Amino acid sequence: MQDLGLGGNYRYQDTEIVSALNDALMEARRLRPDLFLTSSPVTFTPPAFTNNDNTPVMIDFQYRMPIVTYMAGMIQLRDMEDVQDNRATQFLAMFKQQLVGL
Amino acid sequence: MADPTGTVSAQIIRIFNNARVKLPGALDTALQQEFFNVVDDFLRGSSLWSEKIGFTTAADGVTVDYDIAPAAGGQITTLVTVVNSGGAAVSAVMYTPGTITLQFPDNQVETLTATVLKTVVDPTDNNNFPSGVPSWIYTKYVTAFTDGLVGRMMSHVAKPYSNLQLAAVHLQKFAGGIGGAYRDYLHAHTQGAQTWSFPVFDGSNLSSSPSEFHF
Repeated sequence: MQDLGLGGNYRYQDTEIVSALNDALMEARRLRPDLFLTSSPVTFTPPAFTNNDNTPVMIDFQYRMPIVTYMAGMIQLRDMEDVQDNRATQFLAMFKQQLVGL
Repeated sequence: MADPTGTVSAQIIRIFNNARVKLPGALDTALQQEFFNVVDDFLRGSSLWSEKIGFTTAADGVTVDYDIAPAAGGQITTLVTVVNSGGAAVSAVMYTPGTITLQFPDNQVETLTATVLKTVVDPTDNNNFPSGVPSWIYTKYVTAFTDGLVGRMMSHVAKPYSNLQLAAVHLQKFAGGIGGAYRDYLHAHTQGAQTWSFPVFDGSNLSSSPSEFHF
């Protein structure tokens, strides 16, 4: 979904994508608290990110795709000429299905 | 499954692998969380995990309460029996788990032995599994533990592996496994054994482990 604008910048900025990642993690925490269950000490706190750097996003490999799906959906909710809301809604619905359904 | 010390037993690995193939999308951390509860249910229902704990009386003619603590892990749930050094029964109860209350105070120093039943307790081991549970329990009742783990996981709300019908089936089989294990406890894992004996051994007509059962 990324392309270059007139100024050579990407259509969607890193800050927007990082923000969508944080939203995805919070929504995943609501639907699947077990994704964030850690021991010693026991916590259910989702991580939060501020920059597009090398910080790893610790999500079980089985649930990485839903996170990516949600990020794509949230980003495309923005009013842009290259996407339609319908597509964004489908991504967000897919995210939920991938987390709680088979 | 995390195994930083390489101490996860083959029995637990088998139980988890059995569960994983029945629970699409399940996380190991969630399995570990529920496994603790499954083992707790099993041990409370089956009475299979016991320990003998010795303590010395105060010999002051007054003290009747004695705190004991398991040396081999776990938490005390039930007092089975208290005997003196000669093996004779001593009348005692345990109003609070971990505190033995004798019916009569001793006037002389005596070493008593309490046999108690135990279950799991936090903290868990380095791999987040219950500490101290004898491996033979996992080995002998591997299918019961699997059913308990799968049944509890399937009863979760809104998970890929949620399935209330199958949860009921597995939990029913788990309950049957606990019942069978309790029967093994009563009969000391011995075919044809009865649940009582005379003369009594260890001050009780119930044994707390197979090795204590006498005919």
